[in-house]
Amino acid sequence: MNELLDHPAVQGGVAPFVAGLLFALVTGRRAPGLAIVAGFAVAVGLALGWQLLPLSSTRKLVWVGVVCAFVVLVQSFLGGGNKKWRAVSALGAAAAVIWVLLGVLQQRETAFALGAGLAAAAFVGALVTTAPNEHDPRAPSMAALVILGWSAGALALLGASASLALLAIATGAAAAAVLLLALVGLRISEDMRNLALPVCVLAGSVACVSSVTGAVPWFALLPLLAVTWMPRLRRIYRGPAVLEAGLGFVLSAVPAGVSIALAFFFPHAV
Amino acid sequence: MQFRRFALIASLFAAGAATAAPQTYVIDSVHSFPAFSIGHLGMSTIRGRFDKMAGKVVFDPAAKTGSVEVKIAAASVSTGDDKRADGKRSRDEHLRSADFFNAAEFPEIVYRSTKLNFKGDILESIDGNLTMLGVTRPIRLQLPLFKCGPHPFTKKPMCGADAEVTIKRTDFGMKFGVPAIADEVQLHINLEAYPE
Repeated sequence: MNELLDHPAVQGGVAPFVAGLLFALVTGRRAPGLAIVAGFAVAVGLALGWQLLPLSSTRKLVWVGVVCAFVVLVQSFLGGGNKKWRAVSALGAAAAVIWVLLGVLQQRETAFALGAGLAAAAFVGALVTTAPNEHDPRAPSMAALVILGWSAGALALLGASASLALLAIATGAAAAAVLLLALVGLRISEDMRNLALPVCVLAGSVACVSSVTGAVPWFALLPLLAVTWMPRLRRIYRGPAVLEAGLGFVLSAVPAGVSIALAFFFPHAV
Repeated sequence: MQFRRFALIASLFAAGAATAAPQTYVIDSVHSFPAFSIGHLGMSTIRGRFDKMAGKVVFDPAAKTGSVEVKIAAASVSTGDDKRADGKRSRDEHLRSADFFNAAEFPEIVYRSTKLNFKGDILESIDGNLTMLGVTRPIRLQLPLFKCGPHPFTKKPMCGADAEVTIKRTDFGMKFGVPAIADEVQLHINLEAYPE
């Protein structure tokens, strides 16, 4: 059993998927975002352990995941359509990624630190702002979130750290669990933003950490912003939910593939 | 006569004090390296080292006291696999990443001694604190070799030592790959230092 739990595919894929499935069964009608945080938490427990100190960037990501759980709970009562709440979420996400990167940025020259910090904040803020919402088709939206998590994980694997990759892949696996339940007919909340927030914040932060501390070039992150736009091609999505989800996967994979290709062919020196 | 006796006694005390004064030695970075060995997959032992180490040793052999402070550049880790022709990430790049030494965030590994342990006149071990990845743990360095004397060619005074310790990397929060990559790491430090 221990050997199984030590396997990266279990730590980053199977276990978070199962955790996401169980949480979505219980909380999916109200706060589907908790399923994402549950998957993330399981990956943390298996791969990193629950030491929350010292505050490295990876440990800060864990704290951000904990805060995401509270935020999605509050959002489930406020509703994702609240404009003020959306603005606060985006600003909070931007502040979170700066906090995550602070220890690393403090080691660098001031100009680089300011530029990288602001760029990371803008990137994660933009991901949260453009995240799928209640007006977007659900199955493609969930598929886009799966691809976002997995592509951030692929970037981390290519250029930075397998541990970071596991955390991002886990968010995608948990999103896949929610999508599966939605496809088999379980009632999942219409509030797509509740589901999208933890994926965008955690996967976006992993991508930023991979760029600042690893070999992922900053421009490789830009195509990821298009992943969450793919569900907005509403005219394309006509048909049963399974077909919509499949199409959503394919379309979201295009910008994700570009992102991964850029990281693979143009790594920067570490 | 009494004055001469007093002057003689005073000069003897002064000579004794000079002999007992602690001497500061600066570590010779060119001849000092921390090296490590770690079990890999239970199949073989991977060996590596850090290419950049700096620090000071303060040593008073008469009083049998002193201190050691060493700073190691985490990014200088080297296992002989730094760049791959096929562009894939090398082992040294992986070691510098957040999975292992997280050099971007914790650029230095620091050792500060707290106590020198002598057996007779021989310095046997050094107690101190190792700080890595933001975590500080006490460790005891065993010294199978410690010697101070003139350099055989230049005749400059110098001190040299070999130090060893086995640590558990998970004690410092470095959990990636355990148990496939062993938890226990053997550290071997060879050090040469010259008076400041």
